[in-house]
Amino acid sequence: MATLTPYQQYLREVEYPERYKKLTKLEFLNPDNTVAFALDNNFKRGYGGYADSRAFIQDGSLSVSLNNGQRRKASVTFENLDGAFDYAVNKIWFGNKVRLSMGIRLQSEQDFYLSQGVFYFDDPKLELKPNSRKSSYSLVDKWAYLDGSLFGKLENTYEILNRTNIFEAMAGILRLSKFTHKETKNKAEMIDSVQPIFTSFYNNRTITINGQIVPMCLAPHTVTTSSGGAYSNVLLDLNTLLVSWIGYDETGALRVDASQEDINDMTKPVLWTFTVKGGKTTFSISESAKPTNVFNDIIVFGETLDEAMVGARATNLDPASDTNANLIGKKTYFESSNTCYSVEQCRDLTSQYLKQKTVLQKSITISCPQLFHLRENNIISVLRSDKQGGGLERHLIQSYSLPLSSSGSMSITATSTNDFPKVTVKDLDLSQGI
Amino acid sequence: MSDKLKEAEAFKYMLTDFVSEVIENHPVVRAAIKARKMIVAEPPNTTEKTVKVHFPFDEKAITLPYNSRMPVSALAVGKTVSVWYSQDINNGIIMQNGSWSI
Repeated sequence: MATLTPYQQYLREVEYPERYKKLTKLEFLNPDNTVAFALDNNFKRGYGGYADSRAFIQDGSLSVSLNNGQRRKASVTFENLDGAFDYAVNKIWFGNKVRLSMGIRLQSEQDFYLSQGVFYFDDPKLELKPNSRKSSYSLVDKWAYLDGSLFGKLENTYEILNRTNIFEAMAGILRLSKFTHKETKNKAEMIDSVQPIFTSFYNNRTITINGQIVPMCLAPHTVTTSSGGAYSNVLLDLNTLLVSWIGYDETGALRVDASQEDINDMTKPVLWTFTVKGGKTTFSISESAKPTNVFNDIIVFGETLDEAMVGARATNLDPASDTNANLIGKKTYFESSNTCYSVEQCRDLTSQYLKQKTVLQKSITISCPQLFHLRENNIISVLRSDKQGGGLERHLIQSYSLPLSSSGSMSITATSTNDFPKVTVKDLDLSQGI
Repeated sequence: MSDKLKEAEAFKYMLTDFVSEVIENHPVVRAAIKARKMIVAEPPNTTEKTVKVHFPFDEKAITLPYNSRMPVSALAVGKTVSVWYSQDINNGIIMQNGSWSI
């Protein structure tokens, strides 16, 4: 019989929360991202059966949501009797990073952890009582060093020239020195020394600009962010050129994923299957509907370099969709975008908007025992034995939260992929009208 | 401070940056015409009607077109000019001198 990998063992054992011990670990990182030391939730680390007075993780929570920008936030409370984790220079200070990991002790007695994110410290609080000394912090993901909240803003106007490789430009931002704001090879000085992860989706794709075929990964025009703007503004402007997702993942790497791939959610692997009654994992589910947020007809206009206007229109005409335009009428959303410069971009943006705006109103929230391998923008499925037909419904994870302690449940918000319609896109010929 | 006030302060701290970002990136805000003062870095190119300008203390100068009604004397090196732009600064035009008169 084949030996199971630790991850496979974890998937089997995590279904039974009453049988495993939950583990939480906070690893304090050196500037080069190696681990300096770790703190866990074990308060009985003392010698000879006595608890020691070192800090341990007492309480906290993690929340993750799918955004372009900051995705991961956590809160953590330390029992900090020896004061080693006060917010002070030489203790916890500007620029200190931690990696949060959670997992379980496997039946084989091996500790299995899954990384949940790399964070900076923010919002320190100290609570002092006669019999306790607690420090609590908000943990914010590394985007906080780019958006001007924990670091600063651009000292000088930042320009990315026409036809620069977009991904190289993004990586160049991360290589800027925290001290000189110029590019550096010294990893300890970089804003972020971790190699970013870029999708290969755009590598061989092209776009038409002014009749010329241009690779999609090259900037179609000069992108400028004036001094005083945030480093994240540069990244978000570059990201908009691709119509992609950008944010820090659970390993602490900046990740760019193609949203065009999102259109094909049906082919993504399922991370977990939930059941309504008994079975694998019991949970509660609540569905909510926001009809005012439904739009089934999207029009986007963009600007091209030769002052001509381009546009596209995406309409939900899928007869299998509950919100198709032939059923409820055309509910139109209109946007004029400064970053859309070609018909292909307008097409991609309208398709992405249609997918988001047609289904947002049918979101579900699942409350379940803690799972540590779920990730935003991935798929879970729910066996709906409460519905006629009792089918398996697939959902895209939009956000989730879970506690750091072993008690408490996890909450997941997801949108149903079954409702994602087939998209009908029309390029707009402005001489003919819409 | 009451508990409710403390909670409100905590929320304000958490939400301020987020709300600022949402407002700053709202399509209407980004599309609005904004004006900023910049300093002329090099003599103007009168053929192409462009001139290099930079923000105070900014090492980077960018090339922008200027309003043809502006006298060349208003575009001498070191002069302050008013740049009107929509979306990003490189989508701007030097409309007036720094005192808002042509």
